[in-house]
Amino acid sequence: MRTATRVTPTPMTTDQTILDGDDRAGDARLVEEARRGQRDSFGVLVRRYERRLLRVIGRFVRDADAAEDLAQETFLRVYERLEQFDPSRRFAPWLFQIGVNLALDYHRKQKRRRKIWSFFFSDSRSERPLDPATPDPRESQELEAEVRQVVDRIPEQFRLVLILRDLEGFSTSEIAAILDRKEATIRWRLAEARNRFQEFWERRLTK
Amino acid sequence: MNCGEAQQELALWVGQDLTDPVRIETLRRHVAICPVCGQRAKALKASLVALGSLEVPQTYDTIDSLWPEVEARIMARQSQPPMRSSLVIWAALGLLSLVILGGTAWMWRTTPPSAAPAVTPNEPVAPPLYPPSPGHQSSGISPAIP
Repeated sequence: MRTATRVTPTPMTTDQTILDGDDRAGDARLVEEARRGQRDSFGVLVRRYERRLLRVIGRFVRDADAAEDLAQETFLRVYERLEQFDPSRRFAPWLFQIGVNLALDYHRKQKRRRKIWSFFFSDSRSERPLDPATPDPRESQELEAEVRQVVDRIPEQFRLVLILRDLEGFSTSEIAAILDRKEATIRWRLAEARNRFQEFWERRLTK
Repeated sequence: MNCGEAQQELALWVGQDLTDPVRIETLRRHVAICPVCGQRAKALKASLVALGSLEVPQTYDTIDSLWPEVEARIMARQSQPPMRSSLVIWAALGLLSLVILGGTAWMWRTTPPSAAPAVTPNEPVAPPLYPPSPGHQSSGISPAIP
């Protein structure tokens, strides 16, 4: 495992998109070169998207080391499947699709493991271990934990859209491409996700 | 616009995800005069603010890019001896042969032996081994040997 320093990147604004027109053209060229065996071209793609991919995976996998492993695995799978990539489609949504699927699989496995663990050992420890490297702002951590609990109550198909749109700032058309769904479906799910989040959040306050 | 229509679109409106400017303006006017929808819009906005309080996940500083490790793993996979892949192919072929052989043997065992007709229509009938007893009508088929 690498011993890199950890940083908290600046939050992404909601109007940012994962790629613009220039990147799109550049991606297609780099993919083509990588297909022809130019590994360095794939390296450019990795460097272009790794930061963003790590952020997205980190929304589902709270362990930074696991998130990094999953990001690496995502790039490996993408490299191995370059021949299957349809050049008429955009590269980035395909990359994030693979990354999100890996992260969700990992998240589900962890969830099952925690359930089994809590069944046998009633453990009151926090699910999210505190990172000793960060300061200890208890209030914000408590608020964050509450938000996280409410988000976790939302069914996965809605939660996924909520996270990608409202936390990661992907546009609804980008989410549609990542999840391979129609944009209308994504917009409906987004509205449903926001309504459910608001409902659960208010209910929590009235308890 | 009535409250039912407004409520359907409020969640998208508060996140600036409505695209039709006419629709946006209509909704804005409705929310301004309808206390119920106005309250709902406020609640939705407040919940989105709370959601935004989730910290950005901590990630490695990508000054240390993932690429060197990804590249090393790609090279490791590519440099795996070709022997291994050919072994897999031979193993698969062997397995396939076993399945085919097993299937053939099973079919051969379960298929009943075809009962050949004792006498074909054009076959000359053999003379009886024993002379027919008096009054016996010959059926043209040899009697079973005791």
